[in-house]
Amino acid sequence: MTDAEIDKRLSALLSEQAPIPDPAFVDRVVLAAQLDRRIQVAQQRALRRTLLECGAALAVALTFYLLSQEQPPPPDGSMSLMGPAMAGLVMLGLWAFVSLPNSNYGSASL
Amino acid sequence: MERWLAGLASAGDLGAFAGLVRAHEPALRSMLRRLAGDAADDIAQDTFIAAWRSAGTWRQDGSYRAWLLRIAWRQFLTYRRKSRPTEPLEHAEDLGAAPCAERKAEVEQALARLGPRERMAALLCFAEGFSHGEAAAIMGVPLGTLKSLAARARRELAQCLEDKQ
Repeated sequence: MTDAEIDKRLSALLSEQAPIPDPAFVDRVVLAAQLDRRIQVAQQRALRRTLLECGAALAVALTFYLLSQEQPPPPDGSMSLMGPAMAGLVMLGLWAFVSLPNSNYGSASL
Repeated sequence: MERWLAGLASAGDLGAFAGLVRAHEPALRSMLRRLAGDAADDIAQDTFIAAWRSAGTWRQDGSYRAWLLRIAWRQFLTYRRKSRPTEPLEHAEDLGAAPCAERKAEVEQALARLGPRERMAALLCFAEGFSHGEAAAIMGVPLGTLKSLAARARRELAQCLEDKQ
């Protein structure tokens, strides 16, 4: 037998009748695709939020630094209520007050 | 029709994607059953999800079926790396009424005994009717390698044919 003849016989023996469709499988895949899309959307949202908050934290830290450069600390080591460090702390507190309650950390909703 | 559905699916249309799954799942699962046995449905599902995620990357000049098979082969290799290899199903039980059922069953058993690469090459070239070039593209191997795999598979399967003569 030549290779072509063998190939022909193998094709005939290995070919299958039309397989039966399975609607349940289709439903399962479509549901998985739907969930996959929702997870991706949630991941993108979380990434965007993380980037924003990292940027905000960086801005606060930078403000802290700039304010400390504006007025050096008193030589006796005490901390003035009207000094730059306190202004930075107030800013940090404001940011936490506004941002953290809306962040939905730990929420299971997708 | 298929291109249209694929275009819609790449734009995020879940209904169009369902149409593509409906059209391709019977043949894909049937082939994966011969390639991967019990893991076929899991691999088929992973394949469709991967196709959904990368729907925009299908080049419209190729066949969607070949593109799916390429993803399925990669999913199969990933599955094999992660878990114990599973034995493919031997289809002898389906063939009772066929005229050459015994020979078909023997070829299926010989197919199941092949290594996964030879088995995939045999399925693509003999059962699915792809050319060597197309099969090489699906498996992501050079043409020469594919020809060697197919020749090895042919030799094993033909031996089984000759035994019966």
